[in-house]
Amino acid sequence: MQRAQRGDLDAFRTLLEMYQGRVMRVMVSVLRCDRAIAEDLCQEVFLRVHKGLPAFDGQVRFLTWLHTIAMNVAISEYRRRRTQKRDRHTFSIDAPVAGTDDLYLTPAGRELAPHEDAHQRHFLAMVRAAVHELPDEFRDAVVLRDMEGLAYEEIATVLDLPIGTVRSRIHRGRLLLQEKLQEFRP
Amino acid sequence: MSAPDRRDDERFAEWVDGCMSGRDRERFEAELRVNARLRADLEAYERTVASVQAALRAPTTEVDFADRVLARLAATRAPAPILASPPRRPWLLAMVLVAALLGVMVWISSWQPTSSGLDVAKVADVVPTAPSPPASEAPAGQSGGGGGGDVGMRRLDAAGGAVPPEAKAAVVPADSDEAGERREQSAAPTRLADAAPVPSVAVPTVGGPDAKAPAEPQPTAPEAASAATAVPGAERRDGAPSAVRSAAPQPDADLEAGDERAKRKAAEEHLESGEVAETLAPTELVPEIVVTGTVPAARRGRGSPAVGGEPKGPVAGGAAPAPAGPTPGLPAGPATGGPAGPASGGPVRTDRFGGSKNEDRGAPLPTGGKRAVDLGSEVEQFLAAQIAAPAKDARASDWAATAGTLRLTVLVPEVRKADAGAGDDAEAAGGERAWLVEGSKDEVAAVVARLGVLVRRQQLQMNNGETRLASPPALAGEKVRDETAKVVPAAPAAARVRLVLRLRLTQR
Repeated sequence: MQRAQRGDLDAFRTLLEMYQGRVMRVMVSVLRCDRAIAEDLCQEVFLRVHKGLPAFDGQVRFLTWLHTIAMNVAISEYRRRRTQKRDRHTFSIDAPVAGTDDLYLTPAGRELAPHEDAHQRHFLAMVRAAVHELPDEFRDAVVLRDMEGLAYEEIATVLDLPIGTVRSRIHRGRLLLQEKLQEFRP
Repeated sequence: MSAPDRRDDERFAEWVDGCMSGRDRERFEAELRVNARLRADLEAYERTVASVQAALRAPTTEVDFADRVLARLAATRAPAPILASPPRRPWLLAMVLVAALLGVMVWISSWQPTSSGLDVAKVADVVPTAPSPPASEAPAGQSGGGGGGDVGMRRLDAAGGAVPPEAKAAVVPADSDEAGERREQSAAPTRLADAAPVPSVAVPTVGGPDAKAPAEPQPTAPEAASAATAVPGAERRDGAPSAVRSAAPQPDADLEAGDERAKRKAAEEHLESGEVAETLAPTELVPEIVVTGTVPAARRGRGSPAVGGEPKGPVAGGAAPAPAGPTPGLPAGPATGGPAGPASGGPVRTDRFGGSKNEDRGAPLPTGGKRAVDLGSEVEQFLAAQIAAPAKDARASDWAATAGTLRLTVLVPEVRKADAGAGDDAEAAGGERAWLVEGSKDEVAAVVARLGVLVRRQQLQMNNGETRLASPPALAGEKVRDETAKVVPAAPAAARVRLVLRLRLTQR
């Protein structure tokens, strides 16, 4: 980290390789975008990280800071989409490409019956779709908590919210998911 | 699930996430022991959370964009910006765009089609006053600064050989406006100025009947480097040395004349050396914009996004030469005698192109922030839309009023083959398309401005240069060079500007 802060690109590459997967998942989950767009946004995230790294003072965990940047990029992208009033049928920029869930692998080596495996995968895909359909404020909180495992305080830092609001949004998001997933639960 | 009161609801989240204090946990556990309904609700809640976590934390496919990030960092690494302003202030972006647009407009307005070639004598007089950035700072994927490999085009250095790639690095006098702009731009990898123009000094080799061999002086290597950064066409200003923006001391007229004679002589010798390919005659130098970049290989074959499901014209998505005859939907323009046929853009887009200048709001460009589309077709679409779309939104002053005489012509594939010269990426030759954009100065400038925004959003690179095309029949407003090689401004009312737009994409 210190070497990266001093401008060592090899050290920065190490950081990048450590966290690129996580950032990618956050982007895909929060924005429900296809992989290409998520990669573009992830690159933007790490460019910002590189730019801000010298000033990173370590008062928060690096992961928290990274998520803050990622969420800022995601929020900017989402706002940009919402203000754009263009024909989405023309360009596939925002609409997820069929198979958006292709970021997730089919578990290998699992010894389940084929129908069980398919049903499980379908269920997990439904869960992810349900997460994507949550209202933004709930989705962000749920993703940061249940996918990234950030603590409430960290999520409050990332989203710039009081802890109580974070807790409330996480809980309400989960309740909404619970309602949606009633029929899909295996 | 029942409707528990709010305190119980949020305690579920704290319980599952292990955030309860010791005392609260004891109380909650006591309640759970006596309240079966509460236990059932909590169990359902826990199952939901477990499912969500399993789904979101499922193994994902490997991602690896580290190389791309580092490449962008390397491309944008430059001397520390003088201005400490953050890169994403909209007003700063607007200023940069306006400055770029003004620069392009000035460049286009001062462009003099000439058969005797670029007044390299004036270009060569520029003495760089700022150190050249290292070649590695050139934007990744930048190719040849445009114009390389074009028919009859060669770049000359003092010895008559090709200008080395390093000479193309931006050498801008430190205190010039362009230098300040570049420093700002270098801090923002996604800015338009990532495609900061690094025009090459394309010295016409053999001109037509009007060509004057003495007009092709041999700039020295440093001069070539500085010339490479001179605003294209700046040398064409009336009697002014090429680096209009340069802060270098301008030689006086006598010295300039003497230098010019010497350089003309050197150019003659070079031409006689036979190193330079013959050009088609009559030909003229036309400003060129080369857009380079990489697109994902998997998506390149998609072709352009459908325009309401309409198929594109023969040019869209491919590189077929334009068919003969006027293109429906496009205004008829003056016939050109060049290698390209009439414009053929297929069905004209009618989507919104009248957006705000504020890119953060998503100016209505076809591609938005997505790279994985057929850029060539998009450029073609938006160029076609520039022709057809009226200025619906007066706020977009950078591209308004393009429904005039703007004309788009596809250049024949042979031009592309000729462009694939030494030093060009082989893949770039395969993914290259070129159009001739003709119109009024304002129209072409608007197209360039829009293209710049598109390039920025697509994270591509844009470079200015020159290319040689067969001279069209005499057009109203053609600028003429007099014997002193000074630019004689044409009648502004009837001036038409020609610009070659070249797209070189590589797959990854």
